[in-house]
Amino acid sequence: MNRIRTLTLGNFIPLLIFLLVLAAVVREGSLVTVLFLLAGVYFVGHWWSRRALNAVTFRRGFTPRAFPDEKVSVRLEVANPGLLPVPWLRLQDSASPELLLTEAFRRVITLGGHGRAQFEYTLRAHKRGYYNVGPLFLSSGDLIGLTDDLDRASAADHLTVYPRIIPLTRFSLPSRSPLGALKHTQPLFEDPARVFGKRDYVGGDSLRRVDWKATAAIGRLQVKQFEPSIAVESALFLNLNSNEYDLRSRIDSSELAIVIAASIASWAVANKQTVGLFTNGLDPLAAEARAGRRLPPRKGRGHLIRLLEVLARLQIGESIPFVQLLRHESAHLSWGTTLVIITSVLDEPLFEALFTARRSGLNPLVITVVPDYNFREAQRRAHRFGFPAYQLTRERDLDIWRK
Amino acid sequence: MSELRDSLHWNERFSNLVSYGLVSLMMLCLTQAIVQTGQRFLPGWDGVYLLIFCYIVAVESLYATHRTRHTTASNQYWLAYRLSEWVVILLALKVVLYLVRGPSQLWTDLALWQKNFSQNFFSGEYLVVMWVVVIVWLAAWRFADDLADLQDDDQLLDALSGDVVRSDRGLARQSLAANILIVGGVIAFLTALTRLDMSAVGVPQPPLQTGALNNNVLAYFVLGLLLLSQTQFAILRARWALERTPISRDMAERWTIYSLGLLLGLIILVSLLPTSQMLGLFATLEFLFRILFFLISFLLFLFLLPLAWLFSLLTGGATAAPLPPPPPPQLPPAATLSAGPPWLELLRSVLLWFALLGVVGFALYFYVTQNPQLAAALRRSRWRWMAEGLARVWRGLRGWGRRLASTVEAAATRLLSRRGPAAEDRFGFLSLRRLSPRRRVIFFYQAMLRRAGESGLPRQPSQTPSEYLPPLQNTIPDSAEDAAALTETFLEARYSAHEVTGEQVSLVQGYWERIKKSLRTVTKRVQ
Repeated sequence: MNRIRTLTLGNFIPLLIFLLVLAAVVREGSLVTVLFLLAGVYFVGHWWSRRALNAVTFRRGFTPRAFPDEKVSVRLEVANPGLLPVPWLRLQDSASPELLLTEAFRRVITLGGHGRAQFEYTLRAHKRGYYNVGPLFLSSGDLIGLTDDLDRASAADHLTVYPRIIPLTRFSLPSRSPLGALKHTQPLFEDPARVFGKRDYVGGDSLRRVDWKATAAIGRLQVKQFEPSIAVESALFLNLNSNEYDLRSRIDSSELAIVIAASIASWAVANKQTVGLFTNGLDPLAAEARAGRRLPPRKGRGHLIRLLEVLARLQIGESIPFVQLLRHESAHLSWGTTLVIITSVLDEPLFEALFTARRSGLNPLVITVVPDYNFREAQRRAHRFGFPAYQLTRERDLDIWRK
Repeated sequence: MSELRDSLHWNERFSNLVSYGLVSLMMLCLTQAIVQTGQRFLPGWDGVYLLIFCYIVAVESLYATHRTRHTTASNQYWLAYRLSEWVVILLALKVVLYLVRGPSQLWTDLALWQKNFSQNFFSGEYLVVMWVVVIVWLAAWRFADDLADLQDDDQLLDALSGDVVRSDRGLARQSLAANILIVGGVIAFLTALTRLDMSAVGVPQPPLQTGALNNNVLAYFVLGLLLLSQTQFAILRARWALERTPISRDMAERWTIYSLGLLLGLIILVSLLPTSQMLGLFATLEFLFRILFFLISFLLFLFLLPLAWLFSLLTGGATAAPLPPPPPPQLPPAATLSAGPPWLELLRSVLLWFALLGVVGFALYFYVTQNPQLAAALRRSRWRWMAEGLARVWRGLRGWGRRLASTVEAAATRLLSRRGPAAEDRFGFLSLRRLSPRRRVIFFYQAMLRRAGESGLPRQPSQTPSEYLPPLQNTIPDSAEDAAALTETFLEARYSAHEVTGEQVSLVQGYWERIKKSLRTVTKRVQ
């Protein structure tokens, strides 16, 4: 902050001495009054500016969550509850450059006693992240400019920009869990909650299937027919350890991985399935940033919002190895859970971990996001091990689950 | 951008207008001082017309300088413009003189001009008055020249964001301030001159009109300070223009009003201070100066005595008796400056000294606190005991002041309570003593929220007290336990039907005091 003080009390000292001597010689009261006036201007001016600035209160209001490309309107209210006016007040509300449409909000105002001013400016959520909005810097000073400008700063608020969600219409996850919400093509498990019709009773039908109301209406024994269904309890394993990404494509690949995770999570919740998230990415709000984040599988829109908030905040960085995270967390998951592995490459240690998981009753699905010339080979190997593997290196590649 | 340009343009125009008005009035003060000095030493001379004329000349000089501000002195147009300007001024001055003296003087002079034009046209009074006009014109020009450097916000606004823009407004302001102080010094000197009693040396003098003198000096400095305030506004405007920061359209008006309010308030304040008591102080100072002068003279005499003796030996002349030392100074007569009851004089004197000591003490304290290196050096030096002693005295005085304030507050509260609750409501004050223990606990918690909010940690509407506690504890780790205890007691007071006791209130007050202290340090850190 530049200091606007081209004059100091020192500039007035020669005059003060001159006036003092003159007043002593001629005993002129008016000169003494001038002396008092000059001293008063300095002290009262200093006191006024400090007091007035400290009295100023401010409030910032905005919706703290947004999706990419949304505009966020920020309302700023500055008030002077005191009687003493604030001669000038410079406001600068800083925000992350990723949120700014043009420049940071700046304004110079003057506030009278009990004065109030309201402003509104717009931020744009260009990309996912957890951003600071603020702090609001306030500067003020005295009217004559004999003292330094005074500064104050408020605490910053935060804006969470969710990752982009790509609607997946043809996506499916392998599952072994019966009695779920998703219709299944293999009539292995029938869901008693999904009645799709009735037929005449034949010998061997369970009495539990008899629809007594329909039987009474028709006069013949009727039995209910059920649709087969499966439950997909899925756990997203997201690798954001920077050491496991190629240096050149690190940023783009990790962002794509997060978009894929968010899209699958959204698909799962939309289909009333449970979904969890396990990642070694860095979360600035986590108690231990390097320990990764763990959100156990849950259902519902509220849970999706929690997932998206974490995904919005996650950053790629040096953290625990992905295989270590996978081995540790998959041991606590229930039988039949689908593991959606979103990682950089499908390498040997990951194969081993996934094979172990497969044998313990989990269903892995692997999605790699870094271009790999040997992926075909890895995919064939994965197929032999009994789990599917996909390579998605651009957002466009997700079209395989959209058409 | 157009809104920004428009607001800047409007503010600049208003500020320029005010600045030129102030300078013209300051020139009026200068003329007034000159005229009064002239009238003091030339009792028969009436120079009132000069006030009006010089005011018009000052306004003209300001306008002309503003108009030609983009041309240089070497420019032919500028030279021609200024020369023609002066011819007009001189002629106008002559016309004004004849208007004041009457047409008969013109007819007399017309006859004289035919004999010797140059001698009779440039008469004695005309030449003297012309010099006064020249001084005022030059002073106004200098001020206008500096003011011109504080203008043209548009140019700063037009500078590209990548450009390195140099603004000389700081230098212009310093130059303007120096001019204000120099002219102020001259006015003060002229004012002092009119105070001197010259009748003893045979110069006849009319009786002194002190009221007018007082107003003139004071008015000049008030106007000068207002002008400095406008220059500060110009400097800030330059910064805001370079930053492309929009400013309120009414900023210049408010700025002027607030500056005027500040100075008027100060004038009222300083006019209440008993300056006549200071004159007694000056008499004492003068006496001290005389003693100093006597001591120096005596030492000089002792030094010169052997030299004088040696010199007398060389010259062989009769040794002249050494000069006697200068007589010791006489004590100043007892000041009989004002008439009034003795207790009032004593009170005024105490007030004066208290104010003076307060100003000096605060200035020292402020200077030391603004120079941390000096403060550190003081703490290390052998005069540490003195600094510590003074600090102790300061703390004692502050404590005494606070006790006095709380006693007065308590007395006022008691007084209000006697007048019933209606009085309390009317003034809108909250009397803590009249609240129940439960309400008092809630009050302290709310006070903590308010203070924490001011320190940059406002409670969000969605946060419960328990949710708000951890960030608060992180902010004030020293008082983390106090914050937890206060929150817990608040929750009990707010949401339970338990009885809240006076002991709990005392504890809560203790927590609050410690939290307040911690929050104060946080606020300072934030600043």
